[in-house]
Amino acid sequence: MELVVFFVAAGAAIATAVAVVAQKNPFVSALALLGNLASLAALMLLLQAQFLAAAQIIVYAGAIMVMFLFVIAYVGPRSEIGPGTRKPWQVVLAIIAAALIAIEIVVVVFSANFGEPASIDGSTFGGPAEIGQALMTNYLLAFEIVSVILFMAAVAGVVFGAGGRPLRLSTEEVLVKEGESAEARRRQASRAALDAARDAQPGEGAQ
Amino acid sequence: MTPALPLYLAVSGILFAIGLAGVLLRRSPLTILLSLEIMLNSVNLTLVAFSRQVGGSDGQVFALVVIGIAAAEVVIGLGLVIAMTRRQMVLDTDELRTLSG
Amino acid sequence: MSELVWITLALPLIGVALLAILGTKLPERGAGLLASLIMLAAFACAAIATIMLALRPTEERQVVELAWTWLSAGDFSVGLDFWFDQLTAVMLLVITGVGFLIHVYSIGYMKGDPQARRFMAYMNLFIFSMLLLVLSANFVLLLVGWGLVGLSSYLLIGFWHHKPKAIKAAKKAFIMNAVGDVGLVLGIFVLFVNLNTVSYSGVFAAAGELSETQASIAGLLLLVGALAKSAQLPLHTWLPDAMEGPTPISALIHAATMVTAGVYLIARMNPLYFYAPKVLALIVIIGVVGLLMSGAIAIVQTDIKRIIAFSTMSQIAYMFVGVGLSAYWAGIFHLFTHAFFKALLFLGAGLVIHALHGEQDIRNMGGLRKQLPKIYFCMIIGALALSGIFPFSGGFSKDAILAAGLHVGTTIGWIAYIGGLLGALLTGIYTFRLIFKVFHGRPSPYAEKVVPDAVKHHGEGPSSMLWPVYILSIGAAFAGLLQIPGVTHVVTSWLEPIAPNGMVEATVGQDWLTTLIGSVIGLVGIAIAYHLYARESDAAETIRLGRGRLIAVALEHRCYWDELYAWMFERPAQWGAAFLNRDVDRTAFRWLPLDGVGTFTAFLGRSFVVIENGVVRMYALVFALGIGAILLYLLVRGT
Repeated sequence: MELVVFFVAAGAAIATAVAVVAQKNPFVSALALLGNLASLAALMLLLQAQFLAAAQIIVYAGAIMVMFLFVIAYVGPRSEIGPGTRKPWQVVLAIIAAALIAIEIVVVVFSANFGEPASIDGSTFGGPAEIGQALMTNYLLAFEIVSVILFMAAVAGVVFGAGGRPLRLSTEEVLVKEGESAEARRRQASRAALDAARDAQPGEGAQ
Repeated sequence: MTPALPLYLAVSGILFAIGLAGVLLRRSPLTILLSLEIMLNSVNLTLVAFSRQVGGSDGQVFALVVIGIAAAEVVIGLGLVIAMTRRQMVLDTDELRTLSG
Repeated sequence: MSELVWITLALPLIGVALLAILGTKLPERGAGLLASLIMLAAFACAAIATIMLALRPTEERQVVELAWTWLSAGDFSVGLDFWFDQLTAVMLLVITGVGFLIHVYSIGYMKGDPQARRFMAYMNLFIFSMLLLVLSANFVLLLVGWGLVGLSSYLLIGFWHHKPKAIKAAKKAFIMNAVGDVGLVLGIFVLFVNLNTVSYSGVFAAAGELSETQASIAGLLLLVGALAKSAQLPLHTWLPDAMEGPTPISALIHAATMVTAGVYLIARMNPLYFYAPKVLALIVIIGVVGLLMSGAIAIVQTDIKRIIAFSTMSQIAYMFVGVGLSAYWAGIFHLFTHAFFKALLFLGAGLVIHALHGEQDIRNMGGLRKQLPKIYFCMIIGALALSGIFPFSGGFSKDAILAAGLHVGTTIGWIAYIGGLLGALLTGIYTFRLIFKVFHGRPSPYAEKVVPDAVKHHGEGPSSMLWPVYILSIGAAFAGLLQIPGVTHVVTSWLEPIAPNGMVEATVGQDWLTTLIGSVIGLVGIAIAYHLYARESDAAETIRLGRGRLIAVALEHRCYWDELYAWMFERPAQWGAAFLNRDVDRTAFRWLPLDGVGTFTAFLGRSFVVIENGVVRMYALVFALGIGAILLYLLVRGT
């Protein structure tokens, strides 16, 4: 029974992954990735990692993918333009490389002797209590560092998105920027004339 | 009957390879980021599978950390994409060859 | 005393370094003064060191000292060591003394040339290399000095590098010297293989253990090096072309010092050559043939510097005859006097060329003795010394060599004697041809126009150019008095100990007899030259176009040596290249996608550029392929 679920989920995961890679439209790719994440969550449930499966859905599918979709919507309908510098032989080589690695991994895992899975306590393994305990005791440092990294990422995101602009613009600059150029130019010209008159004062008289 | 460990690992390997092919073949930064996510997820699957095999929760904690890092990386990547879009740059990694400024 | 020797060696090197570092910050005259002062200091040190050596008793006059060992492998070690004995002292004095005078001369000669500082630096470099050559006490260091001397010669011949002829001449000199270097290196190898040492003391001590064949082979190979450096047959063709360089270096390198390095080498290696008498005989033959041939060619040359160049070749051939006869002291004595009068002739010629604003063809000169009397006087002294007229210096030294031939008495000795006397006749002819055509007779239209102005503007020449000429003429006139047969024997007693197996020395009677005959023959030569060239007769032209036609043409083509070498080397090389291109490259490699190996290699190169086009994706692809390959390897290896 579990085997059936496994194969369905695995098949779905692989199919959606291929869809992510092959689709021209990034929007469709993102949606396929959502499907992939769901399949993976199913697989994790099979492995009795409930908390992680939930975290995957909530964080990954719920937050990260949503962000992706926002950006894709912002960027707009741009798909890859033209063939670019991609030659057919590059495609072949890339597929060969990927296939090579896949085959190698498959060969290795099936020829290794792992033995039986350890026996676990079904009610606590993979539950939030156990994960939380590990995070707060053994892996506290990792936890804190991840927090810091996420914080830095957030700051970076703000800088990328909204950075580069001065916080307060003078009236002139705002006016110029917003296109009321005539008004701004008039004001700048009168200021310049005033400065010139002040500098030219000693002995030269007004001009 | 539960699927044996090698099956999970095989699935993970195949997913990794697919993600790799995507990174190597696609030109739009968005799609490259998506393929990268597939690769990260496959690694997560491996970690969880081994965590089940060994019986401890270390693997799952590791996978959680990976999710967090993936999130951070996606933020940066998407931020770059947005910055490029704002400057009307072409979203094509083949064109973006001069890494300066 | 040994510190003084090191200082003498180091000073020119410091000069080069200073001139190179200061570069254009130094004013042009400052560079010349600096270089000359360094030479003067080096000469002073050499002189003091020589005096100190002379103050020692004769047995202790050989000083070998090691500064540091730079190569040491088991038993074998090579170091920076010098060998200071009587022979070295003579060479040092000549090099630094004449070198100093020529440096001073160069200040005037190169005035106004924007590259004068580079010239001075190169000259100091040359002096350093030459000092290293004569001071070295082992063959490896000798090679270093030998090579550096060749390099300095190349740099200085091609000094005016905008002149294509100068560049070609520099290359020719360097390449021929390289041929000689091969011989020298092979000779050193032979010695090392048989005697297991490269130091002079080791070789000299063990020379007796060599069989005659081994010694002859080594001696012959070393001779090849000497022939190339000293421009003797058959490696002589570079010397006339080397006259493209500035006159001071023709005087310094191609008269007084570098070309005498071959003579020095053979003299220094006398313990080895003692065991290779056949090679010594060969040296005499080469010398005799060389001096006759070059003397004859000099008679038909029209460029003033090339006359003197062939004369140099001839005189060095005399020196070779001297050392070939085992009369090493005589060869070195002639080297000593030759430095004076040949440098004098070159520098005087330089003054004449200067006065004529660069004209070097003697057919455009004439009658200059009225306008350049001081130069004329000095050149006469030099010419008389060169022709071997008693009591000028050249006579004493040349006759010493010939008398040695007489003394030896074998066939070789007689060949040397008769050949040498014939050569003296030729010497008289070509030398005074030069004098008469340049200084006597009616001036050519060009000379009439140019010289009076030049003299009015700056006299016969700047004092920096005239004073060295005066000093050299004193030397050319009186240096012979050091070895008047039967009266003074400074040279023989000084140099005798350097040949532990003995040197040939003629008796007093033989010597005076030779002097008499030699001077008479020289005067006969002068008379012939006077008859043919001094007066306004076309006797010379008649001979040239009439009965002497064939010989004249051959001599004007320098006996066709250049053509011979072109035929021997250039044509086969070009044919070989054409063959390779046509029959090998295009046909044998036809299966390559493009024609020829060259274009195919370029094609290969271009095809590799694809993976380095700056696209990150491509690099990632290469990574992935690499990882796959490594994993595959690990996988296969594991099973």
